[in-house]
Amino acid sequence: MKTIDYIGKKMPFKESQDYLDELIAQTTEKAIREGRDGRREVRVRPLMRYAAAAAIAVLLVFAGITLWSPASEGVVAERSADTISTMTKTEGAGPVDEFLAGISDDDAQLLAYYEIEDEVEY
Amino acid sequence: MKVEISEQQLLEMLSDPQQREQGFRQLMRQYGEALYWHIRRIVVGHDDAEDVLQETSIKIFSSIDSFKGEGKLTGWMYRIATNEALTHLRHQTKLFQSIDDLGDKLVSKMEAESPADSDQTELLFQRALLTLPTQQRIAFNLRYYDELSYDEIARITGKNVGTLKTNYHYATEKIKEYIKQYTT
Repeated sequence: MKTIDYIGKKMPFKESQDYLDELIAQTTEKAIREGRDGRREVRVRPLMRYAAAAAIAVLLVFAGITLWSPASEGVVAERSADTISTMTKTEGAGPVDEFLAGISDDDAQLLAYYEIEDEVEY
Repeated sequence: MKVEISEQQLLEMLSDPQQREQGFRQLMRQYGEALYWHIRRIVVGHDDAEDVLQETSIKIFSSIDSFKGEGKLTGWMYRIATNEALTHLRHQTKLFQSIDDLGDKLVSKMEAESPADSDQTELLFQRALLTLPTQQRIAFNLRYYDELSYDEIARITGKNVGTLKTNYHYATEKIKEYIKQYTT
């Protein structure tokens, strides 16, 4: 009977040398192919990122130019003028100012404490 | 006939982009078979060993730049192979099952893939080996089959030398006990 010391360092399963050589050769070539693809991917990925960032930047610039083109500038200027005139009107004596000037101090205080929740709901 | 070149020469080739692929082919010619058997002893199945060897070689080739030269290149390769084999075993476990519980499954695989005329004592020895906890089994394999030093095994497994010596001693005792139990 063999003991552990004399059992020999054999495995119960055997593989032929040809099979092993072929397996290792195939494995090696596949690893190299995958490695090349991986390296290419690593190189391409930042380039894709830069390209995407550049495309977004170009789109933003284009959108900016379209919005602020001389054709639309008039509309914007007109709008700005409207806003200024409204502001001027608000600063001056409007109907609300006239109404407030006409009421007593007590009425004004009552108005200040008036809240929308005070309205009875039905 | 295989032409062997030194680890230093291999490293020089692998660190040179022009010679990297040639160096890797040579590396695998020299150590591919040892890696295959190391993996086969862990995962046991023939197809499993092929898959793990493939994953291992891809990892080695793609991360060769990360080898810092601490210890031997072969030790670093064995570490990758060991980790890949353990990952493969983990994928075979069920939820909440440990890889140490795969013993019976591995024994069945080993018996199914052994030739009918296999030596019964050798089979018994393998069965005993497969009853050991996985980490203990790996340490035993590296010492017994690959004849690596405890320092090298420590670098591969991440265990300290003292623990490995104790583990090897207990593993040997358990195997002897198992064989004795089934032969008397």
